[in-house]
Formats: sequence, structure tokens, C-alpha cells
Amino acid sequence: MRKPDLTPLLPLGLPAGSVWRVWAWGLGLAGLPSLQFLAAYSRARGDLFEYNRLTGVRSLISGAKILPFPQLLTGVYTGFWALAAVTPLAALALYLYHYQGSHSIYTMRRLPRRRELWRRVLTVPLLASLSALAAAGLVTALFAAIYWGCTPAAAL
Amino acid sequence: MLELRHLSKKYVTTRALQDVSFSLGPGEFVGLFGENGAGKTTLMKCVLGLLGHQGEITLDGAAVTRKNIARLSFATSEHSFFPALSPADHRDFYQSQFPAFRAKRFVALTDFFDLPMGRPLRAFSTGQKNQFEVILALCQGAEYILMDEPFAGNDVFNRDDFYKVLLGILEPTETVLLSTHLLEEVAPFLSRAVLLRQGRLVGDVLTADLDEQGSDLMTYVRGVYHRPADRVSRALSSLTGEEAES
Repeated sequence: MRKPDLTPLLPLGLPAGSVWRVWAWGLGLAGLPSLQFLAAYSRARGDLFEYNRLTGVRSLISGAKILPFPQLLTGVYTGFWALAAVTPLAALALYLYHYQGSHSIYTMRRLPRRRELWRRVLTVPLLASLSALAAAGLVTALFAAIYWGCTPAAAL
Repeated sequence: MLELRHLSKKYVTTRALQDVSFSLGPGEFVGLFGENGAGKTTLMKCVLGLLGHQGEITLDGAAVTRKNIARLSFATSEHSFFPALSPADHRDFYQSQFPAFRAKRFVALTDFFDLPMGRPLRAFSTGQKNQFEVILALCQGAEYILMDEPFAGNDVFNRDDFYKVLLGILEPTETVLLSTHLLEEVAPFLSRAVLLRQGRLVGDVLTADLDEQGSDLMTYVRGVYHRPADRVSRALSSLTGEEAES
């Protein structure tokens, strides 16, 4: 899938490739804390079973119920919220880019099209925030599928 | 007509401009002079809407807004171009933003000064950057071209070339407001001089009037600033006199 061209949405001269890389790394790193769901779920599911030493069989404990899904999500979204919280700093960085090597901010601030500067400073950070929220949603959907798909019905 | 009426600007505790009023008409080539800190840069930035201010600035009676801002262009020693872009990229951007962009003039000036069209501006020398900064201001299609010390760092031959080219290409509807310390260099090209001192307007004279009076711009400026022509020789005399005594 071809990446959309971010160039019209970035300060002039800022390479879109490096922005994509930062964005991808940021999203990837933001997703790492979400993996703790897998560990929490694994433990919670394991607690539903007991091992019979005589028969050598693991069986579901009668009446055992798995922890509620929301309880297993503790800390899962930390990275995504952090990414969303950092995006105002990204917008500031894009604004301050116009002071590097020259004062191109003087040109941007006197353009007839008022929105040109703000489009190039705010759009990508907003999209990054939205992508963090979307990723959080996707991850939730994935973990919900695991939770309801892999937990014995009697334990739900 | 660009009119400034009772323009004032205060930075926290410093009054950078105090009640400055004057107007610029079509076709004028006006020198804006003053000591460091006189308010020249502040004045230009206020006109361009880059700084808040008190007082009124109008273009043909209308406030300067997005609707008419393209009638003003700006060249500054701080440089307002995009360092990572080439001259060709700048041309494309300016054409997309300023409908009156003068493409033919742009090609002619970049050719004349031998500026490489495909190289990013950050790879240019200081002199080339200054040249390109002024070229952008001249080619935007503006009627009022504000230049704030645009030639700092350019050699004298370069500057001389530029003054001559500037006078040759400007149209009768184009007005230049040039802030520079190189008073004697630009004097022959000016139609008018405006003097600022400590944020106040202290002089406004047509060079034609000075010629009629048998005077020159330097003499006029010295008079306004109360700086006698023999100031240095008197200081040296008193210094050497003191040394002889000791």
C-alpha cells in the first residue's frame, strides 16, 4: 500500500519520510505497554484451571469465573495516551521548525491563505493523536476477541 | 498609498516606536534610516502584521488583512526563505500562494546573479542567500516592497549590481522602503529619506529638495542627529591634547 504524501501537510522542506518513520516508531513504542494484557490474560485464564496430580489432567475449576475484561486492561493504553499527550509538543516542534536556518515564519505568517501555516503545523500531530486513539481501539477489539474467544464459556 | 498613523509599539518596558506617522505613495524609493534600536525593523514588522501595535496602518484606506497582504513583500537580513528548498521549489510555492508572482523577473534575476535553481538555499553562501531573499521580495508581485538591511554580508560590487538592477526593473507602481546603514551608498538611488531616532520620526525629506538646497543626505542626517561634521577631529584633538599633557 502506497503511503499518502504528507508533504503538503508539513512545514516546507521537512522530509515526509522522516516524519513517517517517527510516526511509525512512536505508534510501535506506544503499543508495547498493551502487551501486558496478554500476560494478565494468561494468568487469569490459568487461574481457572487446576491440575490433578493423580490423573495428570488439567480441568476447569467448577464455578470459577475469569476476571472481568476491563480489569485485564489496566495499563494497556498507557503508551497510546502518552503518544496523544505528546502531540501538542509535536505541533510546537513543527512551528519552531520555521525558525531553523532562517525565519521562514515571516513568510508563512504573511501568506494570503491564513490556514496554510496552521495546516502544516497542526494536521500531522492531530492525525498522530487520532491514529493513537484508533490503535487503542484496534488493540481493544483484538484483546476482546482473545478474551471471549479463548476463555471457556463456563468461566465467562 | 501605504499609510501609518500614530504607530506605536511597546516591548514590555521599552517603547520601540512612538507615534510614528507617514505615508508611502506609488513609485517611491524610500530609505529608512536610524541608529541601531531606532525602530526600523519594528516598524516594518508592524506594517506586515508580524507584530501587534497601536495606531493604524492602511493600504489605500483599508486595514492590512489577508485580502491585501499580498500587496506587501518583505526581505530581511534574518532571511525568510525556506532553507531546505531550492530556488525552483520557492518559485513553485510562491506561484501557488501569490497569484501576481513575477515568474519572468524571477528567472531573469536568478540567472543574472548565477543562483543555482536546484540547490537548497542552506548550501548557498551568505551573499547568495541575501540575493535570493531580495529576489523573492521583488518577484512576489507586491506593490510595496519592504527591505530590512537586505545586503548585510554582500560585497560592495554585489551591492552595486543590485542597486542598478533594482532601479532598472522596478515599475512605476512599485514602492520600495529600504532600511540600511549604508546611507552614502544608497543615497543616489533614493527619492526620499525617513529618519527614526529612539522610536520617533525625526526626519522626512525628498532628495530632490536637498538637491535644490545644495545639500546632501549625509549632511541632512547629521543635522537631524545633531552630529557635527568635525565631531571626530575635535575628539581626536582633545585626546592628543590630553596625551601631550600627560
